[in-house]
Amino acid sequence: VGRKLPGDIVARIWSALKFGRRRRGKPAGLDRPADLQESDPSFGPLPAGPRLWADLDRNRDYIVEAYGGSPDLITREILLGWEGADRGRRALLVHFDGLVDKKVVADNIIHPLTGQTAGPHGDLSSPAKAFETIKTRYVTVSDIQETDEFPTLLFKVSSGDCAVFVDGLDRALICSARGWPERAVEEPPSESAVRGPRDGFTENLLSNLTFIRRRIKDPRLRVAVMRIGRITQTNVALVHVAGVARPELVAEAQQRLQRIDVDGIVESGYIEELIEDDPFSPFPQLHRTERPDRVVGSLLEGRIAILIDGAPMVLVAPAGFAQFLTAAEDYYERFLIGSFLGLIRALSFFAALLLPSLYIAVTTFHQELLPTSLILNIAAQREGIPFPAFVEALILELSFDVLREASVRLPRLIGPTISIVGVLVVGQAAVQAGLVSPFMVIVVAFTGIASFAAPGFGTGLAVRVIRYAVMALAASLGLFGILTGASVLYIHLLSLRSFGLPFLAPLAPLITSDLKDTVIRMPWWMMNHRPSIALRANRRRQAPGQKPQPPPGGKAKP
Amino acid sequence: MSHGSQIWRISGRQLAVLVVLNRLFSATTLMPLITSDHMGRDAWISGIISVVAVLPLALLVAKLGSMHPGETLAQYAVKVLGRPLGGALILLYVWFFLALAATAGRTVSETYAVAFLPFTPVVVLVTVTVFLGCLAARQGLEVVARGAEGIALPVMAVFVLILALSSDQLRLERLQPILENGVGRVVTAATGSFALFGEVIAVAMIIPFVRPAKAVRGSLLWGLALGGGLLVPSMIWIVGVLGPTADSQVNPLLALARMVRLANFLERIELLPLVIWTLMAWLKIGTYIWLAAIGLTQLFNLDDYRPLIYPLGFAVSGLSLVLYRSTADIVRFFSADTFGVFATVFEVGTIGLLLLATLAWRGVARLKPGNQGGEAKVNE
Repeated sequence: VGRKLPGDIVARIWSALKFGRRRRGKPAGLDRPADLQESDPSFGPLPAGPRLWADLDRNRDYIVEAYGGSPDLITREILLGWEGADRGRRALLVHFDGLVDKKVVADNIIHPLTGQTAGPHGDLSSPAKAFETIKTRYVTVSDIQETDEFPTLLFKVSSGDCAVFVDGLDRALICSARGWPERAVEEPPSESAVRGPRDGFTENLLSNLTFIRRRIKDPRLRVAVMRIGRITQTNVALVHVAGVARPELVAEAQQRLQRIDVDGIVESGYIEELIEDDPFSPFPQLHRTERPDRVVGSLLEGRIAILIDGAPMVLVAPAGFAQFLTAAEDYYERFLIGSFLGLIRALSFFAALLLPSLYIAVTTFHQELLPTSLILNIAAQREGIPFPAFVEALILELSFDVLREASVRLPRLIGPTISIVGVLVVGQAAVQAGLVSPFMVIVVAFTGIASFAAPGFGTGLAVRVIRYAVMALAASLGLFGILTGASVLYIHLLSLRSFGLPFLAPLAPLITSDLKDTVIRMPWWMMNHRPSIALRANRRRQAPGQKPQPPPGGKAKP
Repeated sequence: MSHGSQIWRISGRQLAVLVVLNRLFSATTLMPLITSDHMGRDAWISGIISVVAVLPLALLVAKLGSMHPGETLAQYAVKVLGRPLGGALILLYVWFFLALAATAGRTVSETYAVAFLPFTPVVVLVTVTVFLGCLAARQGLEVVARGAEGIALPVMAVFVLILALSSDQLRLERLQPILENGVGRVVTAATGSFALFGEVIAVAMIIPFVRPAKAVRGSLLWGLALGGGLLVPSMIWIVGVLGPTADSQVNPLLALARMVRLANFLERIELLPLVIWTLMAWLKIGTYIWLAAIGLTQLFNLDDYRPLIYPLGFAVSGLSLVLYRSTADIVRFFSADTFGVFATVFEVGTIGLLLLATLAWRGVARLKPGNQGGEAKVNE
């Protein structure tokens, strides 16, 4: 904590340069509603609210004013009860149109409250008794809550709950009736697998938690939800399996999350940048995934997961480099195939990083390393090319990156068309125009494909950026330059940690017991122990000796 | 306790790997050259002698470390020798580390320049290599040790691979006649190899950071044994494969790699030595720059070693350019009767001096009333 980051210093200088308004010190924590009452202009206004009043109209006026008279806020006044002297006690329903399931509100709240159901129920003689009756007998929603503070109430109403007030009582009943249009569960587009479950996370935190809970039925699955972002007030859930994840790790994650004090969390990337270990590294230090099965696998290894409301990406920590090279399928396919695929992916990572640089270095400096006929071929192809190999590679790589970016942004309908045209133009025409050599097109195209083979999209992005630096080094110092670039990268990765776990573990430092699940995956019946990030006391994950064998005494009888 | 004596934690295996890689680096860029130059056929016998002879030295270093638990050489040298003498000794050590780093930078650069980049000025190669070392050193001992651990297996695999793949051309009769020039000559020549193995005294600066502390002895012995176990066969192979031409090779390991021809598809594997040299070079330079920085930090009670790294790096780059004029110069310097004698005297002499001084200091401490056994106060 005490260490001053360069970024921190820059921020200080910046704020010193800005005249007038300066950032205030951090408040103690955001999850306590009391903190939300303070109005801090630097984060944007928040209605400073007192406790609820007993007067129904005053409460309504306050809420309407707090939301600035927003038209989608619905305040519905009803009369409680159906007979006797108490008939006609006023009650108020507050909720947002579109955030609640109207059928639930009508059937389970308004209907019983207005006495449409038959028979005398409960006591309405005083406001407090009426409130108790509503709570215990009338409302047929399972998730209810009481509050007497406006900040909590407003947050709940904004989250899609329905608040019920009774005239004469300074409390409100908050009934969960959330329901809004939502994306259906789809196959995760960025991590598809041939074998494996097809469901992916959506934007709804609750259903995302359900995906996990449905797969882990043990009660030791722990979920801690906190609210982050002063204006967005986004729900963020920290999930772990108690007794498997280290308590220090969970505490550390909780602490890092609680330290966040920003106005809003829109996507998981915000959280990632605010809690990672080395903010200046090009490499992601948290694993992100759209697949519930991967999250469950990670939880069972003693990792923690961070789910963010509104983001289909779930963050998993700690994440090592080896994790970025794995795909869900590695664990479902036969282990030999899985290991082979892992090796292919590791190779393609290096190809994506180094291949253009190797081509530049070999053709510029080390022609003797290639077979004579091959180098003659290359020389013949490069005959009319006006540029050195580096410039040639730069042209092609840049245009490939432009194509790639454009094909992500293009509308889905014209995307393929434009890509094909782009590829044809860049590939075929550039060669015929004598701008680049065909061999270079092969190299760059293969590099592009290889960078898609590793499923860790974030690592792929990092490699895309670093590739240019390595190419420049290769152009100036040949293979020595490439090795220099690789060494710088290696030293950087060595110094990187993800929630305390060295990034290159289990390779450097070498943790032999964890090597069973890196690029090469051992069969499940050999994975008797969790990786060393898990709680030491509970390392064993399965009974030993489960290697399937034919029954003793020859063939089994059919 | 100041930041200068910050506690790093490395494992026994990491220590062993540092020792192995340190020795293998010299073995792949320097050693075959020197021994072939002087000894030819009997070089491997010198190798065996030197690795056996260095084991007691390593044990002494470990012993010194266990006599001063929790302290580096720089700390206990001042304690037992007094500030003027101890300080001078530390400065000598710092110079020794810097000179070794500079030599490592120069040798790898020369090898590059000769074998792959004939038109690139050596100063560029030296600067880049030393810069990599500084990057690693700045991250501290743990990162250096992890880096060594990560590349150790590939490096040793490359080593073994080159030997294995060139073994079809191995003619052991080229090693005969054995001991043609007499035993005395072999033993004298062994000092050159011994001095390189003797760099293990640098471990005295790392011992307090090894966890568990009792792993130090075993790790040192394993490291040296493994280093010797790879070195001696390579000497045999160089003579056995290259024959009488071994002496004239600029770099015998590279020559070995160039000899590899496997069924017409596995050829031109001389890239592999290139890769392992670069990695080992910055690891070695990084280790020594870090050691020098820590020595200075502890001598002058500085708060942080990191500001020293880049200035020391500049010094190392400069040194490696001015210390030697050419490869021939390095070879001459590293021969048994120059570096061998100098380094052996320095290594054995300083460790022996420290051991005697420690014993004396213990004796004095025991005489003092109220002090039992003269055990050093353990720095936490």
